[in-house]
Formats: sequence, C-alpha cells, structure tokens
Amino acid sequence: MSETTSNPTTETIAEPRPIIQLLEQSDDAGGCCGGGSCGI
Amino acid sequence: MQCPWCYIGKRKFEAGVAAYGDDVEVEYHSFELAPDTPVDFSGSPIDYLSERKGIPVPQVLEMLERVTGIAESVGLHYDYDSVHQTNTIKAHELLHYAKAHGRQLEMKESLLKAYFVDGGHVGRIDDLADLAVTVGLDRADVVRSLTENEYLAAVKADVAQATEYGIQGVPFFVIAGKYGISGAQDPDTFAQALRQVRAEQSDAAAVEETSA
Repeated sequence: MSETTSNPTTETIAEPRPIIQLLEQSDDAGGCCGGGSCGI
Repeated sequence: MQCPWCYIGKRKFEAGVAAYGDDVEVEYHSFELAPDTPVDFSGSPIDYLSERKGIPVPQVLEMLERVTGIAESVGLHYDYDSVHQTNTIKAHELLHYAKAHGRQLEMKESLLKAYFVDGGHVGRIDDLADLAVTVGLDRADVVRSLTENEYLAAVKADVAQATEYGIQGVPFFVIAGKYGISGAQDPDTFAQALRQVRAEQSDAAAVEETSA
C-alpha cells in the first residue's frame, strides 16, 4: 500500500524585499545603527 | 538627521554623482535611530552617548574627534560643542512636507547644516519653521503641518519600508529600488554603482525593445 502525501495548505510567508548589494563597496564605511557606538 | 556619517555620506554621494556625470533623481527617506530621545534633552551628544548608550566619555570624545576630522576632509565643519541632541521626528515630518512642496533637497541640506555646523535645534516646531522659511517654505503652513502631524504616517511608512528592505543603519542608499549601498562610501563607489545600474537598465531596455 502506498501513500501519497501532499501539502495543500502550504503557507506563503512574506519574505523581506531583497536588496541586492553591489559588489564593490567597503565594509569599513562609516554609518550609524542606533547603538551609539557609531556616534548618533 | 543626527547621524554624522549621513552628512559625510551625502557629500561623498554628491561627489560620486558629479563623477558619474549624468542626472540623478534623489529622494530622502526617514529612518529613526533613537526615537526615544526627548525633544528637550538638555545634555550634549557626549552626555547622550555616555549616559544613554553607556559608552565611556573618553571613547565618545575619541569617536567625535574622528568623525569631525573625516567631516573636515569633505568640507564640513562639525561643531559638536554646539550640537543640540534632540528627537528628530518633527524634522523628518518637515522633510516630507518639503518634498510635497518641491524643496526636499534644500531642506535636507539645511537641517543637516543647522544640526552639525550651526548649533541649531532641529527638534522644536518653531525652530524647524524658522529653518523652513530659509528654503522658501511658508512658515505658518509648516507650523500647521507639524502641529497636526500631517506627515507622521509618511515617516512611519518610510521606517517600515526600511525594515522591509532589511536596513539596519544609515546612511543607506537605494538605487533604482533594488540596489543597496550601505554607509558613507567613497565617491568612486557611488559613481561606479550608478554606472552599473545605468548599464543594466540600458541592457534591459534593449532586450525589451528587441522582444516587442
């Protein structure tokens, strides 16, 4: 006896809209994140 | 508004656009770093960072000295002795008001200069209205708009959009709605990114044209 499984109630989870990072950018550029360590 | 890297990043981006050499349409969006800051915070940024963020004063001083030096390198004369730490939600609302009235770019520059260079207060409605007048906006209508929270929902929508994009810090530059550049990058990075996006858009347009 075989059993076929299916998942008819698959939920669609909204993914955050992706931002495609450009390749050539420095990780050392200054920025502020709200944590204070970067000088808000 | 209060991130020192945003003003520096603005200058570097502008230099990048100049090197790119073509027209670029710019629009500013809101991102709140410290929404719990009181409008009338009485201390200095040093007090704020040491007392509220727990950073030792010597480290804060070192940070500010470093960022002030980098600001100088792009022609910005930060004066942290006169900076008024405050809540910037009304300033963000004003930026949206200015956008609706065709003055956003001027307003953004004016707000940053007021905060980092001129010791202006960018949290109080009256001070913001005074600043708005300098870029050609109607003072009474600005007061009305800010008092009525006319653009508060627009600010919150920007913050929600930033969350959706996965943005966790500023400055953050979104090009053509799908490419991101994080931080105050060098002008060449911006110029190269703009060239890359333009090339991809040209290719896409060509494909669309040939398939039509």
